[in-house]
Amino acid sequence: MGAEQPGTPTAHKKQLAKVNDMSDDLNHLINKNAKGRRPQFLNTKAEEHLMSMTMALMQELAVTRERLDTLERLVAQKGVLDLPEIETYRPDAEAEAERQTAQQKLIATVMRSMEQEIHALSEQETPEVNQQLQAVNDDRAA
Amino acid sequence: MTKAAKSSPPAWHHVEQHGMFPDHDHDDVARFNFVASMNKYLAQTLGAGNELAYDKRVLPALKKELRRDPRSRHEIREAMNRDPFHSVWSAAKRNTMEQRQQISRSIVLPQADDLKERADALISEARNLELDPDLALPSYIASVDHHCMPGSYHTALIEGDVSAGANYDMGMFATTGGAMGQLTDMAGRAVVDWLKANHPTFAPKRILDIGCTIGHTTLPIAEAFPDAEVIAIDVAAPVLRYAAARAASLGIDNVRFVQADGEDLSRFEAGSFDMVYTSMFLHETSNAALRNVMAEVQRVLAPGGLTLHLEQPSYTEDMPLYEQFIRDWDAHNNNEPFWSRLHDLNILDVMQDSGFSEPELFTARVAAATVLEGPEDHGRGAAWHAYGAQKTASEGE
Repeated sequence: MGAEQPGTPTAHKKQLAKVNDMSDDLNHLINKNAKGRRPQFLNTKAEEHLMSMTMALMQELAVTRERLDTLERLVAQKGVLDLPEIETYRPDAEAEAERQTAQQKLIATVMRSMEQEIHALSEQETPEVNQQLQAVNDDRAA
Repeated sequence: MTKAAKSSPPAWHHVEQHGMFPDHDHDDVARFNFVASMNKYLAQTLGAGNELAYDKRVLPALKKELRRDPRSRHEIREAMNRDPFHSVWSAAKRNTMEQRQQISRSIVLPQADDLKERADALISEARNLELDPDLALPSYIASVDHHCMPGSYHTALIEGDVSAGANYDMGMFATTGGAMGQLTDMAGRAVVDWLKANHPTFAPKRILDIGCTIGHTTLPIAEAFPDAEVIAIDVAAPVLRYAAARAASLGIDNVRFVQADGEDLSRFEAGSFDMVYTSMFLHETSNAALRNVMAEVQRVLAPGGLTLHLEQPSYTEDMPLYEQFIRDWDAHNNNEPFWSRLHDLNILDVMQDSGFSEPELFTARVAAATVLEGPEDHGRGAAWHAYGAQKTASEGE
């Protein structure tokens, strides 16, 4: 497991397959709420969402920078790419589809908290969970 | 060579890739690197701001409002939750917990089938795993997903699922900034070190680990006592399956993972274990469960045997209220609802109620060799407060 070096054709293909296999159901499952009341830290729910988005964006920016750094170091090391080519690159249809899918995944990651509010609103899970929790606590305190 | 910034945790790629470790790519590593750095930044750089805000504005305003000093951590919490610095700090910290879950779930769930196959090849039901599909889930597990882990330890998404275990395993190196070691086994190693220093001739033949999850703490103890039979129990099948496969992949063959509830150890005879321990388990149980567990521990422990329970320190009267408040953060903000009440208890009293006599009881500081420098990230460093007892050897022995 994990014996493939990054950059081998198989590893590259595998990675793309992972991105493209990310169905809506799977994204829903990845972004699932943890059972239990989520505290509100800020004045409004809207601020909570903005905070979550900012944190996720910071994460993804850090990830992109790390990837770009890897890429630049490898490119420099191997002398394989004429850097100005990047400016004139135009993806073919397959590459375009893969890139658009990756965009969707990025957006779902950043917008997690909004998705979770939708899940919570549609499942009405929270009040029941809180009641259960209260019951457990009352029971234990008795 | 440029040295990493002092506050940097080790990069996540240092985590040990055992045979059950999920496949992951460049950006997965980078995401964990971000979360680990952010956690450390929140604890070390911004953490001090909470106490500053408290001293400079929250406490003076609270004293004015109450016309006295605050009397409990709860009063402090209510006031601090209105403070803009602490609110944003808390919101950011909560988000890192949620992000950590999202990252590992986005890695693990798409390969759940592959991980199950890998586990199946490593697990031997006859030797290292015993599941009980009829075991009822305790309410303290069923009612809340501990530390914001969607589905907690017990949810199986497919038949024979191990994804809960893989998810838990992957993130710990990031959440703890590497402080628990490359195999997240620092608590087990700390127990072994403590035993060697304090009970150098102790050679247990049978050891019980209660609430073992993926067995990360169990393995160093099993390795230190290779002739011992180690039984590690948990209520959740997905983490046990993962634990058995993980142990096998690491070549450790003297641990048997059993699905059982610590409140009912009736399958084991009285006095049948030389050592019984738990690690950061008690705070995830309710107070009633804790009493039942301790009564069972007392019963199954052999005369002369040792029991040891690694926890965070209780909120004693001499602990400053501010420290109690900040140590309580996880209880209110990281889905640890039983944490607060547990730390109000004197665990030695509970142990005494369970039948241990006062001379048998002790407390100890159990720390791993590599304790993080700098301000404590409460509950996430490699040092624990241990509550223990050594059962008096029977007469004539």
